[in-house]
Amino acid sequence: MEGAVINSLPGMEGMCGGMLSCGTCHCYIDEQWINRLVPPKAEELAMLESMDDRRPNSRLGCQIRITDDLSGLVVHLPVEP
Amino acid sequence: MVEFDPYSYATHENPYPIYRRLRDEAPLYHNDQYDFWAVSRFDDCKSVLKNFSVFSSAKGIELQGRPDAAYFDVMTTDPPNHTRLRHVMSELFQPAKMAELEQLIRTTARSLLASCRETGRIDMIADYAGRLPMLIMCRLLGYPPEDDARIMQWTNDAVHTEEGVQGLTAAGIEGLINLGKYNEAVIAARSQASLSEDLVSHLMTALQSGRINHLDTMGYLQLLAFAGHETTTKLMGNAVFQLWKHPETLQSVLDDPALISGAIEETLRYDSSVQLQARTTTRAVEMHGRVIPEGAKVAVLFGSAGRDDRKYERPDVFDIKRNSRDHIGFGYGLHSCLGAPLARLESRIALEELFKMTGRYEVDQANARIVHSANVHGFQSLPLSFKAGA
Repeated sequence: MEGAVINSLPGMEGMCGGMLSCGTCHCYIDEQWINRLVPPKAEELAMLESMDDRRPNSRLGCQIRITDDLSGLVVHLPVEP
Repeated sequence: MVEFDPYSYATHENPYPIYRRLRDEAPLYHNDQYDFWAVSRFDDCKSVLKNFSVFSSAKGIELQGRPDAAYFDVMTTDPPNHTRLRHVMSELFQPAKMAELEQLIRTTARSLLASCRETGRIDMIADYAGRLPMLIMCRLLGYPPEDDARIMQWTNDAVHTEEGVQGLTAAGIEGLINLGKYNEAVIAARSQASLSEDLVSHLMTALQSGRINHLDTMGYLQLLAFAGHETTTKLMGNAVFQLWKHPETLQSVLDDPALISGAIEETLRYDSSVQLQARTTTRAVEMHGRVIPEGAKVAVLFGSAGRDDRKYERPDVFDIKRNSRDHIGFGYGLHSCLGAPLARLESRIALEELFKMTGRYEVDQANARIVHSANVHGFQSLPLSFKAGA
């Protein structure tokens, strides 16, 4: 989330600044990468469940901690409304 | 020509008609007297808050500049420094973590209400909303209860403004300095002690591991003392006042307390306790056909953004069923309020417990007094009456 917001990428709002409160950093993780992330916690799943455009590879960007072994991670952002 | 004076008492009483004129007639406004710019439309506020590389927080977020006694903190830094500081705390304030505090908040709220239950009168601010968030923050920090009164005095002094005076009063500066001395002593004492679960211990761990330095730790402690109460106090008071102004809405909330959360969100949009934050331009930038020079102060009018009819339908109608979090009452983006989950939880529980005691209540409007501040909007005294012992 921060990587996208700091670099002003369109499609990533990050309205609540990473407080797991708004769902505006919803993104889709590329299929090849989804299983390499730390799985979502209950609170993130609850937020994702409330989303209309949820897909199996949906995550909240603010809950993905970027580490060296995620170098090359491919994330798809929802198109801006 | 529309004039916007953020220090005038008349503006504090009711800023909304001026905001409407600013949005319609001067979406990029310049105040010649105090030399600042202001944006008032929702989209413009959002874009200024988003664009931190041009609209920086590092020179302070108040129009009058940073008080000398202030420390740099997560509110007054830009990435990457901001990111480093925010990460120290952000997980601790997430909603699931805050939910663990429900019982502490409820018990504290009830104990504050106890003395008013039989009298049928309560000052929403002095007796209740002005104390609850601060008491909870002091418990989260791990400060001893006997220090509550003086911390409250210092922070109250520091946020008080006087008409015609920009910035802090002499008592306010003294309050900040005293709070600083207190927090220096806390750090010194804790560096010798074993650590526990409280926020000070969390900061001390980050300090000892080198993630943050001494000044960062001081900045956080000073910030938390304020963040602990000022804006949440006003939010609770504004919600209680707006519900009283809208009796049918109040009745629906009393009948169904599950509507309280929606009332809080709507208060954040309709009558936000934070009215203004400033940024400073890092380079010249064009908006609405005019050029803001480098180094200029730009006021972001949160209170106006919530009333923008370009964003909201019927923006001047207080409608708790919007139940939308699509407002900037807690700010927007990277600087969005770290304590928002706590403020939401405290406000909901505070109103639940209050309404259980009062049922329908009346506001003694003749004796209600608002806070005079360029940044914060709300009451310093809001007397309520209700049927005692109900």
